[in-house]
Amino acid sequence: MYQYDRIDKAIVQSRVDEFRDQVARRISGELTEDQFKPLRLMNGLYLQLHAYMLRVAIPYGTLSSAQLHALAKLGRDYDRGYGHVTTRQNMQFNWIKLSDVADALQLLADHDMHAIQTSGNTIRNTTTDPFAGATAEEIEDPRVWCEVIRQWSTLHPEFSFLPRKFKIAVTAAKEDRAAIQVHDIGLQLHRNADGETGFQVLVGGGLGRSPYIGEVIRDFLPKEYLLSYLEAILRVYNMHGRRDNMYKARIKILVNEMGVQAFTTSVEKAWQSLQALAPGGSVDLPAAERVRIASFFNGPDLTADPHGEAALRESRADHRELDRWAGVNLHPHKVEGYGIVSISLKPVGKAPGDITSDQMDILADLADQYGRGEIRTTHDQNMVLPHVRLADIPALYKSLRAHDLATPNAGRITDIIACPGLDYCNLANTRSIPIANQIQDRFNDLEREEEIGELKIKISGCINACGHHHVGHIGILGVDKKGEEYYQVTLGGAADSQSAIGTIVGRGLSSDQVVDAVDRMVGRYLLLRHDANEKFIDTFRRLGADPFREALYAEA
Amino acid sequence: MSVTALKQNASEPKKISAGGVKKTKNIGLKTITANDLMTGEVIYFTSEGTWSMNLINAAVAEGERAMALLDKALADEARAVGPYLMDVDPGAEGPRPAGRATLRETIRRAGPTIHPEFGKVY
Repeated sequence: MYQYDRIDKAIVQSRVDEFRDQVARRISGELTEDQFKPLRLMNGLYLQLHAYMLRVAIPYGTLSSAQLHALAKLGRDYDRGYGHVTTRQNMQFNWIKLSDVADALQLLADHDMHAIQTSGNTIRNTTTDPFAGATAEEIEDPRVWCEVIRQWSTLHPEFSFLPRKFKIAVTAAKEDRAAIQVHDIGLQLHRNADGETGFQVLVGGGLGRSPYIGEVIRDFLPKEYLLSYLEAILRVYNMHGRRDNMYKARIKILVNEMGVQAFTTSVEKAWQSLQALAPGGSVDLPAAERVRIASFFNGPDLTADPHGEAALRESRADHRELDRWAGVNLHPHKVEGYGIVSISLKPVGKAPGDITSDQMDILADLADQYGRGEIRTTHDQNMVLPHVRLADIPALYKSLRAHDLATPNAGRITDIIACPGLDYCNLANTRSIPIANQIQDRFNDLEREEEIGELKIKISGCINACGHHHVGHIGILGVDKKGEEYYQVTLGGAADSQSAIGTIVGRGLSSDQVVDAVDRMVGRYLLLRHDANEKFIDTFRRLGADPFREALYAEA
Repeated sequence: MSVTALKQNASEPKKISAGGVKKTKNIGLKTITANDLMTGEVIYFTSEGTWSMNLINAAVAEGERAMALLDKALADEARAVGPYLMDVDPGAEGPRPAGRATLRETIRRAGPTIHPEFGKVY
């Protein structure tokens, strides 16, 4: 893992001190709320329906056990004993008091964390594959580049007041677990015909009220030019992005209005100008610095265990529940005898993504005991232990289960992404979490869930789409109709390597109609699929929306 | 300004914030609500010019009186963040949320529906 150096520590500490002073000046009346609001947002502090909310950055979703203990302490000492994992792999605390924020930020700084650029029109936390550094599918660890981007983008003077917020995702595996096609910039590491590694660069993806799949503007960018190329994209956006209308200010609108070709030409021209300034476009990292950063991501020294798989197989054969859990929550690791473990934060009836401080402490301890002290957060609001010996899986499962962390539903119908919705959010029109809980309750039958297989439901409480409903196999969008909660269903969305924006299939449903409607569509899928290997999304792609639409409104 | 516009101005009160992204018009009974500067908690403006965490203590007013109360509330930056007019209905036990933002204001008043343990009791 990357370790803060002297400069990182100094920057973060200075921001804590600065914000402590800003809070004091707001409380004393020296600053008005209009003056203070942009300052608190720059430090990740929002004001929601019931309280302040602090959003903590978790760079590319990677945490040490010590950092997770610190987040547990933050939740316990300054909040209400829990945190909430977001779709940017960050963690939010929903009940923080203004007078405690500086102390909470100090706690974070003491553990090499902060809340800088988790809000505002800046470059936000760069996200990546939660299996990075552990999966055999990747060509190299994408977190090296996420860290390079983090250092470049943090407090970047030119890009601190962009037309709108800006999100970047990086992956190095063919299977996209980072939703790169629906980001402002998506970066796919791959090899060209000569075997060289570089980036395919996508721009202009995004969700919200105008969803777009990103466009490829460069199929292969030699990786040493990443920063100058990003700088060129951001420069074009900063110059030409709209500032007159916040709903048209994201780069996706600019790309769409300019046209991909014209936008690409502008970027290439800006990039050439940067290249002419100095070798490496003045911002590209010297090779030695790239090597230094990469050295933090060598990963733990794992010795192959040729007997691990057989040992686990034996345990699974004797233990039906372990077998069921491992069947969905355990994933292949690049080292023989190891596995990647998904920790579901979606037990039935709880807010998706919530984890208590006690659970954080337990998970941090388990990471130390079984997972080389490393934890990941995921964009689908779960956590991951990336390096676990298969021989340790039974013991790990037993401990996870004792603390309600062993729900066997990774990628299944109850593993729902849901935004905080009207239970917390100032912008929401409707609640999201209760709908998620009702769907979980309806499908709270492990046999049936197993029969249904992979099915991704995503729920947003308003058109800002924080619950990623556009890319749910079944997407649910809450809309306000004269003060009543209604839900519009979209079908066929996906955020994987075949990303697609879901199709709106008809009129909205009232809150008491949604769960039955989802149930009928799932029933229709089970009737229509070729066999148990054909996933819901594949059946949809084969047959289109009509049979599902018919089921959706059958009794509505 | 055209005659049509003047007529519209006379009969149609201009849109005002109803909390979050919602807009409403200054028609009907209103109270003033905000968030407490220090805690972020939901607060309501009283007829004494103070703030209460309990809606039943809130001042209720209409039209220009409501706007005058809002002006007073807006001036109290030491205590309140983001005051706005909220629709209410009168009730035997004091005002209760009404209008288009009823659900939003009911949740603000009572706490998140998904965490009954965080519900507010007065």
